[in-house]
Amino acid sequence: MNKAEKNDAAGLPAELQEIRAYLPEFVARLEERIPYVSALVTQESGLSLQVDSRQEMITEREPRRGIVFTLFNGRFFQEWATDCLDISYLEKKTDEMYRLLEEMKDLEPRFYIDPGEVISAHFDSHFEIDPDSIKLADMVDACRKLIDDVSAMEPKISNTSVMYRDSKEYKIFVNRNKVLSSALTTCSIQLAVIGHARGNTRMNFIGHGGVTGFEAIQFKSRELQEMIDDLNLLFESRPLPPGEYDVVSSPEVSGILAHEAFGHGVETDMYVKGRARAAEFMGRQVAAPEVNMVDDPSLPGLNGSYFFDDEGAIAAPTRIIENGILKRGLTDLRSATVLNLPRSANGRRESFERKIYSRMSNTFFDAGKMDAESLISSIDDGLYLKKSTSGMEDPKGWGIQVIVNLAQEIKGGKLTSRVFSPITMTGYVPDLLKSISGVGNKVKFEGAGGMCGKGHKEMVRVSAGGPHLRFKSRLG
Amino acid sequence: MERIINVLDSFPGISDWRIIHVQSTSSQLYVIGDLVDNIRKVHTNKFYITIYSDHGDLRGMTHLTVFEMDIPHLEHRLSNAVYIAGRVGNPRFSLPGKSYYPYVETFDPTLLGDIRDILFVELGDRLIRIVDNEPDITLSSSEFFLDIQDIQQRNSRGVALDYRKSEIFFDGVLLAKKADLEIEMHFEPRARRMQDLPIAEIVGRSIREARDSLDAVLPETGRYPVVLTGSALSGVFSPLIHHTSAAAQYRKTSQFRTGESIYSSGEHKGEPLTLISNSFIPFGLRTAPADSDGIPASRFELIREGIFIKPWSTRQYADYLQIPATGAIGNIEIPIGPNSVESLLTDSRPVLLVKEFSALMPDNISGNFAAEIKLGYIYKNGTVVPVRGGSVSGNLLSGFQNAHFSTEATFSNYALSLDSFGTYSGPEAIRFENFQITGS
Repeated sequence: MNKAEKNDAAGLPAELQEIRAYLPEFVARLEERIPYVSALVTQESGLSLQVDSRQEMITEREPRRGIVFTLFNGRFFQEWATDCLDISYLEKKTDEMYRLLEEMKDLEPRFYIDPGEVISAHFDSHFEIDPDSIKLADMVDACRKLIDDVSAMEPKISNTSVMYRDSKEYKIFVNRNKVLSSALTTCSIQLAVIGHARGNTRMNFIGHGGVTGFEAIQFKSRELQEMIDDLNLLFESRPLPPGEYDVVSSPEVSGILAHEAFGHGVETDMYVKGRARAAEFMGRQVAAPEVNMVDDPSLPGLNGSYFFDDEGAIAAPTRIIENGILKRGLTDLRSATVLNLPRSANGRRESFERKIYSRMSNTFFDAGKMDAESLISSIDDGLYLKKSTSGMEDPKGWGIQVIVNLAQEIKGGKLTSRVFSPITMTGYVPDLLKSISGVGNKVKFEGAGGMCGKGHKEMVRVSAGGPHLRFKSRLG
Repeated sequence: MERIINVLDSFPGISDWRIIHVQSTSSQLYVIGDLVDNIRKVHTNKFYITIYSDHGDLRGMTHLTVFEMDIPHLEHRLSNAVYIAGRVGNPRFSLPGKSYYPYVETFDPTLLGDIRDILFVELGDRLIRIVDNEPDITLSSSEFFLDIQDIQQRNSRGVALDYRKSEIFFDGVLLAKKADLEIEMHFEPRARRMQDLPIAEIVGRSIREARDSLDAVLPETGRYPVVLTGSALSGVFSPLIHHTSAAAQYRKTSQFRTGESIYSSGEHKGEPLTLISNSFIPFGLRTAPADSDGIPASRFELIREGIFIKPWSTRQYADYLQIPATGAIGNIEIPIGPNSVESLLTDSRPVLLVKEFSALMPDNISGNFAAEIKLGYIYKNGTVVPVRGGSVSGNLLSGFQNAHFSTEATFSNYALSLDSFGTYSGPEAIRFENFQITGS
């Protein structure tokens, strides 16, 4: 990840610099009576613009600011969190934290927490244009113009909307060995069109964004036209006759497969709970030999990028699948400690108000050797799975639920005008991964990125991607 | 609060304002198997402020969230907010004023007792003990949340409302094993009071369903009747909630027209749908004395026998459409139908009863959906076979064109839409005739 790694934390707001300087001593004081203590401060704020053909809304994004102290007694964690970052308030609450210790002090320790290497660093994300430098009036005018231009492209459109968001995310992590901080700038935009025809309503959208500046959120005219074309195709779409199909997935659909179908199953907190079938497959073949899958929070500019996780592990790639073999899972501190697994930087929490879990970051199938055109031309009778809307994990059963919103027929190696929607992709994850017979040579991360939940809660920002993939799939 | 109000009242550029002050305490317990993983206590204290700024014929508005420690810097934050609101140009709309707010039940006073006792003894230990008695079932993990919020709502037109609400949520995962096959069953009930969370009943049902899942097969591919019940009803109403909103009417993203049939062809074969918004249901998840604008709670019909009666509307969209404001949508109420569940499951063709989807996340605009079956049952020729895997797909808006409602009623808390939970009071089962089942 592009970064400015420094020992000073000038990139933090003044009040956070003060807390960063204060916390090491405070944590050390708590550790005189508690075996392991860490502190995480998060502060997020930014701007949100929602403009459509009929109305507009500009507002600050709901700021998330707070501190969570994690106390470990050798058995389990206790956490104390507040949205008040006032140092005198924290000092007053020290006794409350000691009281938590009193309630757990008689337990025999079972685990030891490795505080990691000694490091003090600050990281700033790279961007070319600071969103804060753009005049609000210019931003609103640009959104209004985009809406007018797009609305004029197709008479079926009844509403066009733009959702723009930026943020500054500050984070400080402190334990006895580490003092880490970061300042991330994020920027994203999503453009949606809604059309009416023959009593039906359809929507299509495109987006850009991630840990990046304002420069990354421009739409090309080709993208706008493709969005309109796909909206029109959705009106022509029909239900797909259920069956098993030869398919080529777009990078967007490949990404959702990587994330939903497989990625959730290698989050190792699920191993601890006995909820992941992947635990039984470590070191075993789970995919075709040409399949490689990676999770990498250190990639620059993507929606799931960060410099260190919420437990102080420095971001680095984890090669989950190598040549079809399941090699590594994604760990948080607890699961790595309990299972004696190597740490990866995947301990993340929705906010200081929530607990840590093992979570993905930027998850993707790595590139292969074939170009997209030859993958499509190699299919005699099948489908190109172009756009997806959602997916759901099933780590225990390794079942697949991916919803494809637009699929195009392939006949004799060429795309036809017949389109299908909506489509469910179901089946057993290893069957699908082992059926992969072609891997494209370009990895793409489509869209603005998004938020990922654990079950139906605990949202964190992530991205997913991959190359085009050729495989067999049960669709309906 | 007083200081904030005083500043807002006199701040240049602010035409109107709204404050929602929320003080929350969240007590959380996380358990893996029967061992404590984490115990958490979270305190938050936030002022959600909305300012309205009129310029010319237009009204701008913007939100800001103020923490207690920000109050000394409030003027700076408000200056920025006034600047932002000045860039927003929507047609003028009004704010609700002082009103009578009905008493509605939103808080369980038993939660004022010893929280650790409730978390550990009444919830955690009880769950562990129930599962301990089942030899083929293990408890993978459980999470318990007890949240109490004190809410104060004020606005510049006289709204003044204070109330307290509670929410209890637990998330449990059971593992069931038979030979080499192991499956998990997930339950995540949520309620405002303890007595609406009968743990023994909830877990007992999940245990039975987990065992059934071990014997489940793929459903047969085809088009045959689908009956949705239990948590499979979660998300079903989401497209209806979208299309019946005044916001969607105003933004032209709804295909419903007031006074007209909601069925695109104008005809229906099943029982016509009646859909009611009800913010009074005692301890309902969307029960509140008023919506966030301060419009008092109400109960009203959105759809009556297939005809779209009126949209649910916040004050802003009500003004735009020149209709009375109903307030935000409440809990969902649907009248029971004339058919027993048994009769809904009886047909010369197979009938698929779905109890749980992996996730039903319909496209609210089109109504299209496709969802994997987590647990269902095929009723065919007097036999009942559990099924899992495969999917159900179709269109929920046109699905109600040929839907049948059970006489048996249920009262449940579901995710009524993707981003919001609510209470459903209505038929225990709804049968749809035109969905596609994909399986073996």
